[in-house]
Amino acid sequence: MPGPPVAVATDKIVVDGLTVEFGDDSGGAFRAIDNVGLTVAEGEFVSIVGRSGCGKTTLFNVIAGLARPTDGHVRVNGELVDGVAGHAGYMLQRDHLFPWRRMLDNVVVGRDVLGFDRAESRRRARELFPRFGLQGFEKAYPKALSGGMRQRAALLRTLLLERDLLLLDEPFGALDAITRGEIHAFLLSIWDEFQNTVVFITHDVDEAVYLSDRVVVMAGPPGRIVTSVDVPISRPRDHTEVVTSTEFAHVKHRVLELIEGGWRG
Amino acid sequence: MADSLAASTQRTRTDGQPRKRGRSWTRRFLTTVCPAVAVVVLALLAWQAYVELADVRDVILPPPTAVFSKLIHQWSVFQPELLVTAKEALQGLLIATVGGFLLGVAITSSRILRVTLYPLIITSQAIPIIAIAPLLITWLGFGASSKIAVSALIAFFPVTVSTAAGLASLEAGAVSLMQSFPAGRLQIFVRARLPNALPQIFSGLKVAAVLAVVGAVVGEWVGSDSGLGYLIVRQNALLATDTVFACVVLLAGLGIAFFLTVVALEWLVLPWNRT
Repeated sequence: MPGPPVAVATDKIVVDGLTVEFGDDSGGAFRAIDNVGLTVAEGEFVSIVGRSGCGKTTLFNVIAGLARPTDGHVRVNGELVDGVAGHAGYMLQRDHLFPWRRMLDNVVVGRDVLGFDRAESRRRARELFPRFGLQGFEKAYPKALSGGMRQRAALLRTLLLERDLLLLDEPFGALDAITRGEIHAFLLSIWDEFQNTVVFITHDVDEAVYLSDRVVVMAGPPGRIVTSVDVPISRPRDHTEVVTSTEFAHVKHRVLELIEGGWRG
Repeated sequence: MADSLAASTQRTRTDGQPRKRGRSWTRRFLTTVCPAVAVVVLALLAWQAYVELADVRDVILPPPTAVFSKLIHQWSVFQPELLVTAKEALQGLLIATVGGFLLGVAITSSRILRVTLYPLIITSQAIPIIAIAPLLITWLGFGASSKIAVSALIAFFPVTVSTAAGLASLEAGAVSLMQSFPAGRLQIFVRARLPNALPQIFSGLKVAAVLAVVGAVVGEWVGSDSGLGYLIVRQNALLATDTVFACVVLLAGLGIAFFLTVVALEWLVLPWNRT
């Protein structure tokens, strides 16, 4: 089902005929992803939704360069990604802040790994701390922070790598509903400011519809894309206004129907 | 929005302590050191009372006062032996720490090393140390090296096990995060696996510190001409029970000193892990 024509400057991610298989214990192969095609435009915010085990995370890991395609290919910025990482900011449900690093050192761990100037990295991080609601916690250890603060710090760590593609795998899944609402608004303001392309994995349909330009519905295993649904809601999006609007309900209804229906396109 | 959120959480969470207890040093002293000392003092009083009331002979059980007076008046006898044992145990512990750590790294870094080394490591612990000690003395001589070997052999095991467990405990997500930067195996080891393992390695070191003293004494027991273990064997044969008890007190003190040194080291090295 071809989507409506969108004025696209460039394609950021092109996934073509992607199949991923893993060897299982009995020597056979488990097909996690089966012939998936997906294009994400520059600056687009795309969510991928689907049931647990439908291959979302495998697709995500192949795009990140952490897993290899069995067949087909993935291109990011026109370049083939084949198990080589380093082109995307990557964030997971767990913040994985290192308990032995102070917050200022935690958010620059990626830059330290890549050998960037340590003082310069910390100077940049320090400048962004107030924006991320972390001011005053530069020297604190992660255990002193609340869940929402830790997740904002993890987002800052991702952004400090200055990559124009962000891959977020259920980044707010462990937060309570109120904190999640706050961090959604925060993420959108950050996205507006930094202009990244975002691929966002979730099984929270509300979250997907509220945040995204487009919601891709997956089914499986083996993982396949059912279809993608555009979200015709203008930005900036006020949370209360959006989630109570008829457009929102309409898109949400369609997405839920697709998840439940599996193949019904 | 984010700033107000930070401000509201700041007041309650800056110290990261959900409950307020034992914050000041005096408070900590009163709640942890005092009860420990009180128990020891009570035990000594009971011991003294029992010996005096039941009129137990000194050869069987000397009173604590006799043991401590022995220690003080004949300190020149005990001091060189204590030093010998302390040196052996310290060297044994150092070898056990380095060797145990390297073995822990080896068995977590490659499957081949794991399947080949693990049986050997387990075997080394399954054989009673008292059975190998005479062999070690035959091979390494009557001097300190055989005692250091026994000490190291008994103390490396908890270091290896805790190192291996600690290194393996880094979450898969943290590894993926590091790989996404991308970080190679060495970077992941140095920046994530090793620091993540340190609290567990220190747990192993605390056990090893105490075992190192035990190992040195076992070595001395089997064959030596100096050290507290040697003194115990000699004085026990002479029925000098008060001297034997004095040695026991010194050995206990030595083990505790080793243990507390590791605790202090942990406190210094892992400021983020202090409780």
